[in-house]
Amino acid sequence: MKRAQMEILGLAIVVVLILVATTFIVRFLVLKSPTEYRAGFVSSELASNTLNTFLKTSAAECSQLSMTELLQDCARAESITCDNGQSSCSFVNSTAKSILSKTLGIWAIRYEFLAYTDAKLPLIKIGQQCRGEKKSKLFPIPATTTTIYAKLDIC
Amino acid sequence: MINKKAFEIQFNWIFVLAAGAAILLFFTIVVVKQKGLAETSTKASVLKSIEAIVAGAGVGTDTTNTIQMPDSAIEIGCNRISIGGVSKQYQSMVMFAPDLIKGSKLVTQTLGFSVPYRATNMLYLTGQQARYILIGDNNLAKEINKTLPSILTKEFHKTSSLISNKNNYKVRLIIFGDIDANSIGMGSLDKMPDSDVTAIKVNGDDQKGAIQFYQKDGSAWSLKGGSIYIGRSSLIGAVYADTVESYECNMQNAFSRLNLVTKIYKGRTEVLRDSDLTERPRCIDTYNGALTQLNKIYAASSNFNNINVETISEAAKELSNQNKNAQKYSCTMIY
Amino acid sequence: MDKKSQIQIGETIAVLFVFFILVAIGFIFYVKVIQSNLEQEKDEASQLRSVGIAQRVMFLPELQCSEDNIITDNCIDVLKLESAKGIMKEKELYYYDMFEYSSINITQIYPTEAKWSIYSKETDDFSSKFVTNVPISLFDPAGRKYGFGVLAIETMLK
Repeated sequence: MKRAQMEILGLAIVVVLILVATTFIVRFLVLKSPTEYRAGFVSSELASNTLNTFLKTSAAECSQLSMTELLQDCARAESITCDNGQSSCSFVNSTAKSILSKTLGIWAIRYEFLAYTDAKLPLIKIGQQCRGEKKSKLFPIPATTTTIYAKLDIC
Repeated sequence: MINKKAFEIQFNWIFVLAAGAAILLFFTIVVVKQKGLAETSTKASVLKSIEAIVAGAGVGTDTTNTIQMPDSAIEIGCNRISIGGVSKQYQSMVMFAPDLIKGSKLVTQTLGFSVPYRATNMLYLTGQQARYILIGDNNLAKEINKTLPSILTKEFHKTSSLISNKNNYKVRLIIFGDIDANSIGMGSLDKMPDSDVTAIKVNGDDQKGAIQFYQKDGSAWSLKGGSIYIGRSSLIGAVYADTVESYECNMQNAFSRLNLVTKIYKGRTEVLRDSDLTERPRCIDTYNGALTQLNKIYAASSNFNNINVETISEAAKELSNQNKNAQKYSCTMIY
Repeated sequence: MDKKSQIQIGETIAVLFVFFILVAIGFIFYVKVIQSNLEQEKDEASQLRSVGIAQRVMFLPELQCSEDNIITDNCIDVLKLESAKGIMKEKELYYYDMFEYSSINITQIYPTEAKWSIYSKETDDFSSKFVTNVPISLFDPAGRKYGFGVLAIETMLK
């Protein structure tokens, strides 16, 4: 190959390299994907707000006892019977199901709510287990002999 | 032939000159436009940051922050913030600050305005280049010194002494107790512009009191006006605000907010009193007593002045007692 | 002028033409990138505003639950809410500084269903619209009981 041809080839290689570098710079630096501030805020707040609010809620049919108190009874002896004849466990279960379906369910957010003393044998289990990324909130509730865990996973 | 050649060379030069000028002009226009845009964009981003601070002030109480931003001069007026030509007007803003904040480090502080229930958060904004000098030996002076953030450029003197010039663009003196403003030696501060050296003299306690606003006038102090404060957060407002006008504008805005919140508490207390579940006479008496005080606060919060501050301060004390009574008698608390 | 000079000037003009075309292409590319960055910044700013408005509603003294002036997080006092809904509608301009173009509704889901609309200032001329739902406790001080509610904030940003 003549010298001039070699020079042209070298120049072409340099041009190709610059083009590739420019493409990468544009791809990764200039056209960066937007930060999802709102989604981050909403998902991080949602699990904790939903669980805290639910546990604080007074049960109209069970002498205005809070869901936390009903869960404590549920783990202990199920001695409380609500006005509609339901036991503490089944009342918390049906109320949680109703509230979560009217909130997370309507907003098309998949979730799993668990209340347990032993994770293998949950007292209450609502929704489907999350696969992949999830935001989770675990709330320990002290009971007489054990600790109850209320957990909400937002998928 | 020679003439033709000379014409060719001249034409070539004229052509090169025209083309060069066109290229130069093009890039000059681009650079000038870009510079203007970048300056406006920086001003807008600083203003946006301050807007975010003002907006976020309502969320957190008792917070202190330092914010790093491009070096700029922020002008703050009554319900107005401006940087260069960019400005933002508010309907009602409670932000105590000097009329000009310079530098790249902003200091923000928030305190709740509770008389006796929280009506709003008071926001304080200043620059780290502004200097605050507290002079006094009473408890209030010590408390105010503790309340002001440590990141602020501040000094605490127990007695009046000669103030040295440390090249700050603004100096603010806060004088407590019986110390006479004119007994404080201006020292080398007299070289600074009069409007940049200001002082307040505080007479009162943690609850309420009087404030006198001074400004440097040559090598002496000139009294610019007087006002009052209610609660510590309001006194801290007078520390940050440069002028009596700015302080009173912010206090008027805080009072407007107090007026709205009081109206809500009035409605709430009336419902509590008339509720079927409130059968006990002690609760009803407590709510009636509270309503009397709430009505006083509501009427007095329409305008910020001496008489109204006095009325609100008394009513707030009484309302606080009624709230304690509500707790004592197991009634729902008023606030 | 001889032919050689004419060719020389022609060459210079051609070079200048190509140069300006390259500058124009570069400039168009720069403007496009700046435009896309601006759009992105605008979107992020809109999101932050929407989050800011949601937080301001949650910490509003006009609505927040408190006991002995100690604020209960994530809780709205129903009696304050009843009082505030009329006042906030009446003072719409005052609250515009805080909530801009948005509508704020509170819905009780349990024990009974109820709805309160506390602020509504809408515009058709918006570039982005966000809906933020926040589960919230609704405290009834008269009966001293907590309900389960949702604070729905719809923000419209120009």
